[in-house]
Amino acid sequence: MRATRETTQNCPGLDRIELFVTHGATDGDLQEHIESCPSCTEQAAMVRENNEMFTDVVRLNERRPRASETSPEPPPDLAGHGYEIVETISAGGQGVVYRAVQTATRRQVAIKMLHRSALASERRRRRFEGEIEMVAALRHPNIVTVYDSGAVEDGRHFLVMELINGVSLSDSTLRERAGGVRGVVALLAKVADAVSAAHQRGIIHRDLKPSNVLLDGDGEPHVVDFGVAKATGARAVLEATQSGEFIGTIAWAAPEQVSGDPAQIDTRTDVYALGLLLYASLTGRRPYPCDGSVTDVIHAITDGEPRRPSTINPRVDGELETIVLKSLAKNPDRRYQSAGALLEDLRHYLAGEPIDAKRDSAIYVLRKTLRQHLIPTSFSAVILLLIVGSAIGAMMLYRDARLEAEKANTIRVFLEDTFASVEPAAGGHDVTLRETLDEAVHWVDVALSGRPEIAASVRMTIGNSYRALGLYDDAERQLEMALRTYRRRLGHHHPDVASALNAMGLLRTDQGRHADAERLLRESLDIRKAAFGDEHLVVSSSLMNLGRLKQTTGELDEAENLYNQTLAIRSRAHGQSHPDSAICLYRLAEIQEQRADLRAAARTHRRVLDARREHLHPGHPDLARSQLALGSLLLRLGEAEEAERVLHEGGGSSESFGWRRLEVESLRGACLAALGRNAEAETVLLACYKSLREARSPANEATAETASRLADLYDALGRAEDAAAWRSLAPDQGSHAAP
Amino acid sequence: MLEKTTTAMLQGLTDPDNDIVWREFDARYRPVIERFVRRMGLPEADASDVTQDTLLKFLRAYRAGSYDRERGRLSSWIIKIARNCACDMLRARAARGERRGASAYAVIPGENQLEIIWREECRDALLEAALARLRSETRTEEQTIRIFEMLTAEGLPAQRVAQETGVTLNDVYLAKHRCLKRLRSIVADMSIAYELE
Repeated sequence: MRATRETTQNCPGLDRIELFVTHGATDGDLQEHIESCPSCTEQAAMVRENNEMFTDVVRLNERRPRASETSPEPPPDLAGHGYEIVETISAGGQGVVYRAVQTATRRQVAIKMLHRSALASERRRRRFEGEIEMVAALRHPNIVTVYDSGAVEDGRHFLVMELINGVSLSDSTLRERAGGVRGVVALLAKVADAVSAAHQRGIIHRDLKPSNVLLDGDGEPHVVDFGVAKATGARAVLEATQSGEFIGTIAWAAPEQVSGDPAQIDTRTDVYALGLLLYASLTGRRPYPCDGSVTDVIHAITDGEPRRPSTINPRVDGELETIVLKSLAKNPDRRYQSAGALLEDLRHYLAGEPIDAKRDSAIYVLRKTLRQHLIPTSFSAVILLLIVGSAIGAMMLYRDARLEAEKANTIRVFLEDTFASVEPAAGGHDVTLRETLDEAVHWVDVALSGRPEIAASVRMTIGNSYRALGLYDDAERQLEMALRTYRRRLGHHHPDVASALNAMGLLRTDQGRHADAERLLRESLDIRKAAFGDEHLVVSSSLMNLGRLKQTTGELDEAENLYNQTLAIRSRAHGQSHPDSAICLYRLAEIQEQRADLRAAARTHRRVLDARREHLHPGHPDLARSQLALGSLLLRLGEAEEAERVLHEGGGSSESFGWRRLEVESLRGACLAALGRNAEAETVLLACYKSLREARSPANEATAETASRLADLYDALGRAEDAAAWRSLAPDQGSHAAP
Repeated sequence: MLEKTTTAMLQGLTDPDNDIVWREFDARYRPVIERFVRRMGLPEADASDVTQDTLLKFLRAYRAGSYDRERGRLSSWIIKIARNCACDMLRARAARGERRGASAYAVIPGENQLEIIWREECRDALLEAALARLRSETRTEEQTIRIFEMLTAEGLPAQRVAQETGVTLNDVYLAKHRCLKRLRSIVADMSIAYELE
């Protein structure tokens, strides 16, 4: 095969291409190569197609009965117990199942004969008997009823159960059989109902898997083997896998089961298993690759992200995906807390009602702070919009013949993929923007291979988002790949190369690598000047970024000069009060403040505030920023009255404009205190603290600052006890600088 | 080896003396029917009886001209015959007291489910046949096939296959994909002949 394709020295072997296809890019160079080398792109496509056939062949082999599965033990004689064995139905890990007839009633039953090894100790036997007694009391239309149990002379135990004629869930691609997605959900809802009923009686299944769900002639599910896993304990997953033959079993284990701590197994373990059943039934696959070694599989179970079901079966919508992924959360606390809760959501889904998974998670997400990069779903959606936008933009830009034909479809798939990825995050587990971005990276790696320019453009957006989160290494990887691609495909002087250099420059600035940053930003500036002329707005952005760098390094004169150049270009283009011009003034005011020229800074901030009032709607955060900057300057200048007026302007209700508005109110509280209007100050600050507490985490700076202001106020009023109490709520704040 | 299309077979079947075609038809459909009947929940011995009945009934009815391809798919027709045969068998057993009451009928899945099971079994049978051909072909090296079997039938991870056969990981994947590529082309050829509906 190797010889038949044109390869260069750099072409990776098939083993690496296979790795790339099955696990996504783990190495930038490899991926970049595959993206740009037509021969390797083709190889990757072939591997993808072949692997579908591979799955079919493996599945076929799994369905074939194996020699080792034929009954190793002779059928027992149960005549003394009142049963006649008719034939063997199946043989598995725990024992052999026979079709039998109860002699007295001629009733057909199934008898499960456990292996001798299953109940080796006396303790285990007692446990088995106790457990089976409880299970025998279970009566549910979707649970296989246990009629009887006993032991034969050689010590083997058996269970007499209701006989279900039909197939097990593992026996077929259920998706089609149950009548599409809704059929599958309806079926699994019945299974969840059965499991929930058992949970209510204190029975955990522990070994729910497709082969333990039987479908009768009418397609009704019946769950079998309740209590058996616990009773026979010997088959603890880890133990079972050590022999290497139970990889089929382990694939259905929950993370807490492979971690080997039996104390962690509870009803939520069954919830996970139900999630797996749903996943497998909807997609025909397992959520993780199960073709590696036992260690690989365990690793996938404990750490692997399940592949989103909608990417395999597009008919799985966001809501359903949320339900599935929530059930599959690694941490049991993030799952549905009971089979009943899962059942509720499945019913909501079937009835077209909103599912609980989302409601829970919205509250959950709100509790988290930005510092952990935990972002409400809407933020993720915004970022994804940006990413999608950049992809679409790039597609328009780099139109080529092949792309033109595929464009509509590619965009549709992209949208579906990315937006589906927001949904499960909303309910499945912690929504972090980081995860969203990682997901997007993966998407680019896989779906945009072979479209290097578009991939590069999307990488820019992702890289910038990583940078904003302080994830510099991730940012660097994406931006460097983009830069390399652009340089290779577009030459060294293309505006897109300048954009990538600019982004890298900003990254270096954030990292504190100032010399590198300057080199990159200047190179970007030069390319842009050459391409667009000195007066172009894009050039002004480069100047602005350089100014920021100089301001950071304390080279204030140079920074001032750069900001003035920026301001000149932007004022000519948009006028002086345009927000893009106002930001230059804002920076200039900061420089004045850094030079301790507070009066000049206040005057400049006043201009910024006026400009922003003219252009921005009253709730805009930049307005609040300007108010804060000007207000605190005036307060420092001892002009508390003027400061209070500035902060009060456009104030209105503090709830309507979010937490930045609350910061403004809090500063106003400090002004009121400085003016001796103590009662007002107290009211304002207390209200602020309460709202900030509700809106953001108590560790937040603004909240701590407000507490500190209250402490100062009570100090001034001579209420030392109150002051101390509030001071303790502002641990890092110390005494506030403001009066 | 060129597969005869199902259409060609059906034409040949009308001739009562054409044993060859009948044997070919039997070879293609007996495994499918047998597995299908097993999936209805019948034990092995019963399944093979029911399969035999089904094939004979089919042939008799076909030669009597009661199958009109315009009016229904071949698969639906065979499914119906197999289902009736299975029911007859269960009824007979119930009458002899081996089974009780309604359960004799509840065993058989509904019509839609049967269709799906049938399709699955056809696909499986086709894949089995394709695999058999892949194995018997001389154009693929023995070692290559061996590696493929280790990966699929034995379910061994690639790393382990490489160790056991003493080749590189890359060679394992080369063998895997060489076989899959060939298998895909065999399946594509055979699907045309099987006229999977």
